[in-house]
Amino acid sequence: MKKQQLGYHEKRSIVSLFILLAVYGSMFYDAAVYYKSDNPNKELLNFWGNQFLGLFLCLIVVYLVVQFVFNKINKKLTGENRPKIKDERDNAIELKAVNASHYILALGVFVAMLSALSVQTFSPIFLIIMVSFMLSGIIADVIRIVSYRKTS
Amino acid sequence: MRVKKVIANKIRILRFEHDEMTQEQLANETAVTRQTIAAIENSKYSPTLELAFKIADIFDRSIGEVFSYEREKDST
Repeated sequence: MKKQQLGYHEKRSIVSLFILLAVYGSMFYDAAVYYKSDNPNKELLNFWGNQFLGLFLCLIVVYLVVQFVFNKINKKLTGENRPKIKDERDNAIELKAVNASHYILALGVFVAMLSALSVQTFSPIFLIIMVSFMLSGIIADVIRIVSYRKTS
Repeated sequence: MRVKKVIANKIRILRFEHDEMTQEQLANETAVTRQTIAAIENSKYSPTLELAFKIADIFDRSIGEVFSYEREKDST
């Protein structure tokens, strides 16, 4: 059977996946620079507080901007508009993606707490939570792409 | 050996019998996207009971006349 071309949601999830990788990539680069500095333990909480706040704000702004730009470019290239309705298939796929991402996030927090018990420093906790945030976002997007592909 | 079963349907035939209704028209009447109708037609997505009733209602058939629970066709 002939496979359908990539739909709006699949393309949007692929774009979202690249944004996620770029944003988290820059966050981990910042962290690497910070830990290579002379005294990385100085103002540790301040650094991670800034990282997490920056991450959330950055993700919100970047998503909004890219969503707008993506809609414009997609419309120009394919003539395809953003779907006006969200039907039961979209909701089922979204639920699957959000469920999986919540499991990953919960697992990440659990592992971070275990590391707090064994290592008793802040750095691994923040690093594990940051990684679990990233993985939860990636898993959600991958599930969206695979689910839309499987049902198209 | 466990046999995989799918929800098969006669939507494609019924659409053609219904003045060659397009997937887009059926999607508009049932308030879903055309992609969802295509996925149901190809047995790639099983609709909710509500949507199945809506589709059957549009074709003026009972739900059993439109949908059936069948052994999956071997695609190889």
